[in-house]
Amino acid sequence: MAVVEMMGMSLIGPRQEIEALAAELLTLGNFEPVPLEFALERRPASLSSGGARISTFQKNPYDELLEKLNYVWKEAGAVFPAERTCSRDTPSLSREECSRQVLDVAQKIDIWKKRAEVLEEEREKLMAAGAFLDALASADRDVEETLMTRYLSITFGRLSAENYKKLEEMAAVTPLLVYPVVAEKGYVLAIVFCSRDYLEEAEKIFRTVYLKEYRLTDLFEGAGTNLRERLRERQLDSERAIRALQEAPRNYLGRRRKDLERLYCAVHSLQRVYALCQKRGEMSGIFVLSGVIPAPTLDRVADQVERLGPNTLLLTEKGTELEKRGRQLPTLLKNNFLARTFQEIVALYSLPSYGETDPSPLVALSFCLFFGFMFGDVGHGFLLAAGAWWLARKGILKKAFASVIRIAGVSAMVFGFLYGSVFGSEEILPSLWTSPMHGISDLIQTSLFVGVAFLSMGIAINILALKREGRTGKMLFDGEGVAGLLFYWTAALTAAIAFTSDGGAPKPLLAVLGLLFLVILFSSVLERLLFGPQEKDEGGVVHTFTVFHDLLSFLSNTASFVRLAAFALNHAGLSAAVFMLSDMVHSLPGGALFRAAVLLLGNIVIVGLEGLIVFIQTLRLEYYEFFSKFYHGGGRPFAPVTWNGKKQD
Amino acid sequence: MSFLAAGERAAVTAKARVYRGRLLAPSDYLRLLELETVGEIAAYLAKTEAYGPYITEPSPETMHRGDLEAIITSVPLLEEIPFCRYLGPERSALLRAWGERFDVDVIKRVLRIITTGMGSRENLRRRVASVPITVADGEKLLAAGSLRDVLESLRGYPLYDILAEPLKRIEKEGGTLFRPKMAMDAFFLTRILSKGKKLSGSEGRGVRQIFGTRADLINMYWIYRSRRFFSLTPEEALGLTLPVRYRLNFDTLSSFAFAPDVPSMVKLLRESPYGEAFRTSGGNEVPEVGEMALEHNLYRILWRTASAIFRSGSAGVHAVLAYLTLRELEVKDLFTIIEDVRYHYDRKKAREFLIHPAAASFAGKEREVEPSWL
Repeated sequence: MAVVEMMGMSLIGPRQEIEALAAELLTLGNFEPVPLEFALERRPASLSSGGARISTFQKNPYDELLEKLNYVWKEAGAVFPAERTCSRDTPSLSREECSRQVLDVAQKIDIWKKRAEVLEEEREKLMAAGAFLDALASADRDVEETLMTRYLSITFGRLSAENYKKLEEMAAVTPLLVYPVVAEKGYVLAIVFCSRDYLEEAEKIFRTVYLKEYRLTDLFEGAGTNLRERLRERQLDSERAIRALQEAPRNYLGRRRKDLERLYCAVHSLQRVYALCQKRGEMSGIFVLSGVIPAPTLDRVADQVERLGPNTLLLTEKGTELEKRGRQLPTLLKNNFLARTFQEIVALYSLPSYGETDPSPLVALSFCLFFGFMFGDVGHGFLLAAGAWWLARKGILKKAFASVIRIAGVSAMVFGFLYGSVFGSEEILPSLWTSPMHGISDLIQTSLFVGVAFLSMGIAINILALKREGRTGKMLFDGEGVAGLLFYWTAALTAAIAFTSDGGAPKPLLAVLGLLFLVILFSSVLERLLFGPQEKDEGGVVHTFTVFHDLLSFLSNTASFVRLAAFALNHAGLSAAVFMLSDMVHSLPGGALFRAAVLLLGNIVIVGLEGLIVFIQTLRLEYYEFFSKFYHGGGRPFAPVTWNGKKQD
Repeated sequence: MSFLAAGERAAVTAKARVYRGRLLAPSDYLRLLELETVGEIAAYLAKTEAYGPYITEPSPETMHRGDLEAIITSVPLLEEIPFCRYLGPERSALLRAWGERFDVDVIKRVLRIITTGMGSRENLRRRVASVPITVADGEKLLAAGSLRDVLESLRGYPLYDILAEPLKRIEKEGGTLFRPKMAMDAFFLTRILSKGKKLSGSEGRGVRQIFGTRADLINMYWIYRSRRFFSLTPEEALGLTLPVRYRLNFDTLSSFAFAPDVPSMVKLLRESPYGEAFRTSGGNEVPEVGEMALEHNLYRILWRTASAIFRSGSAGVHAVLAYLTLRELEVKDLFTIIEDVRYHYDRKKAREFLIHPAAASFAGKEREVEPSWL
């Protein structure tokens, strides 16, 4: 009903024109690119024979540039600009120019970062030296005296706490003396003593525990007096320089923000354009860009091609042709507000495949009918609709889902007027049709009639789909085809007469039922006889079971609709129980308060819990009873490329 | 143990047991060894319950070795994910830590490509596409052109601190990737065991049993190799061990490392709880065991450890880890079979190197050399 017809489209032209057109397609947001092979098969001979010479772009060169720009912003501690801040014109800079500018900025940041790393290492070393000096001072030892030992080697370094533990273990079986100086943030600064003769072996051990050694002789060489003070000063100098280098990217971005944002927009535009061109082809400077568009938008695309690509060739192919070649086309649904709201419910089951009937309009009607029927109450319906509106406004409930609940609430209100029910009370409003507590028989009959009508509609849609597919035999003789529908109606009529009259089931109708049963049972044989060999036979046994299953499902599916009446009664019963409870607590001390509390809580439970149950029962009727007659789904949503990425429609 | 935890444990154990039932039977191994091409192996596996759902190629008989290996390597990882859905945060963190080991494998491969030029980035990309990497920035890692780039891809992840020093040292002074690789293995085992420590009772014991045994075997193996092949000093050999101990404490490992010579060390190794891996059919008098046989003997000990978890009948996440270990070892066996078939090695000989003891003992009647513990 509302699955938009799609078309295959290829643009073949020089690079500049294709780039401009790709930018326009991004603005239009109606183009889903497809791999080159999708379009190439059975194309004009000149193109398909050149297939081997066409090279495809597997990688988007602008991804890397965007990544680098992201890195610049990240290092500056700023938020990357939003895509929507860019104007959507044809890219203004060439690829070479973009690349040069981006690399230039990224290189600057890299240099600052590397310099900061070197200084950080230096600071770490100075800190370690300070810790070493403090340790010596507490042991009352002099630096020079300690470092100039003749037989003893001192190693000072940093290692992880885990490896320090391992080093301690090793010290138990080797001539090493290990002392921790400072332990923080999972690291330990340690001093290791060993004899100079053992130093070579010790160094091998140090390597296995990844000891980062600080050469003390380098640090303290020519230290002289006031060593601790000068170390502290050097450390402060390093820290100042590190801070300046860390702030450099932020300052740079602050000074050149406008230029950098312009550069970002240029790169982003080109990145999006090439996202379209990725996996497309190039042949001697000529670009090939293929994709799928909604057929109604073809004229607009053709206008743009005429305006921006005078040397570009536009090739189109109908969706039906593509389907014949085994290509799966994406699904784009177009519906009015009400049906669009219920697309979510359909998509929750499965999106219609391309060419399949979109059940959204029917679901919109039936959902309102089923929900309202089972939950008919003016007050509760109002609370449900208002609650959904409030939850959506607070962002707690998804907008589309909230719309479904809002409409369901309104439907409950309409049925509330029909039942004359407000917050479970049937005494405030007059009933326009019937009351669940007093008109049970009416409700059951109506629900069965609704069931028969909806199942018939499902089978009718299936018949139309089979006709469209050209499967005439199946359409005529199948259990879910014309024969099945006639059987169902005859059975329904027979049952209605049998239950309402004294004479039982009329014999002619029973004879017709028998005949239709035989037609359905031997449908494969009839199909073969009248229309020749058909699709792969499922085998006699499977077919017989399928027939029995189909026919029995008429009974079970129809009976399933009795739940419409059952839940309407359930709603009235629950409301009556709440009133009874409130009356019981009314006689207690402070009874008015208790009564109000019971009424409030009871109604909350009815709206929340019963509302949820009725919602689930409605879905069940849709998915199991209704959809099982005709709907397959399995569609892939149309995902056109836009400036902001892929849009899942 | 809370009521919910009991539910979690029962659910994943039941699932693990069902999955275990789908592992290849010994007869499958024999049939696979009778095949002539890698395509035939792929077609055979595509029909099994264990691999069928993962080999989705319409005509598996045309598959190449690389493609098939890429698929079967991912299988244990893909199977780990659904288990997490049944588990609370504590247990699923443990399973995720198990999965991270495969991420570590990707890092090792990238390092190998950078330092030796060997390996394919495309294969790694495919692997990461099927199971995303979680211990590093995957894109940056796969694009890394230098050790510094690899380190940069790890920034903000726990492995950064582990690898910063070893990688910087290699960049400055050169050297092999041996130490960074060991550091990663140590990281993985320490992490999984520390997460396992949070579990009590049979579950905690089971986790320690599987991964403690693995750590012990690695430690033994490295001390043996360090002394036997690389002529490292005892200190260096000991220094290479993982900081994780289970049945072999530091003193026992020291006694191996500081043994006066290789035959004395092998003697000590044979007397250890895992000594069977170092024994040959010639008895204790034969001083050495073949390198490949040793490796497979060690894997068989792991196989037996994982199987013992199922025999114990206890329920918990350790049963899942035991199953995944068995699956991982099965994949190793398939690699052996693929290589044997691809290069037309002697199939009788090939059977000797299967890890699955029942599959190997099927062929055992024809075998000339059989480890005495089988």
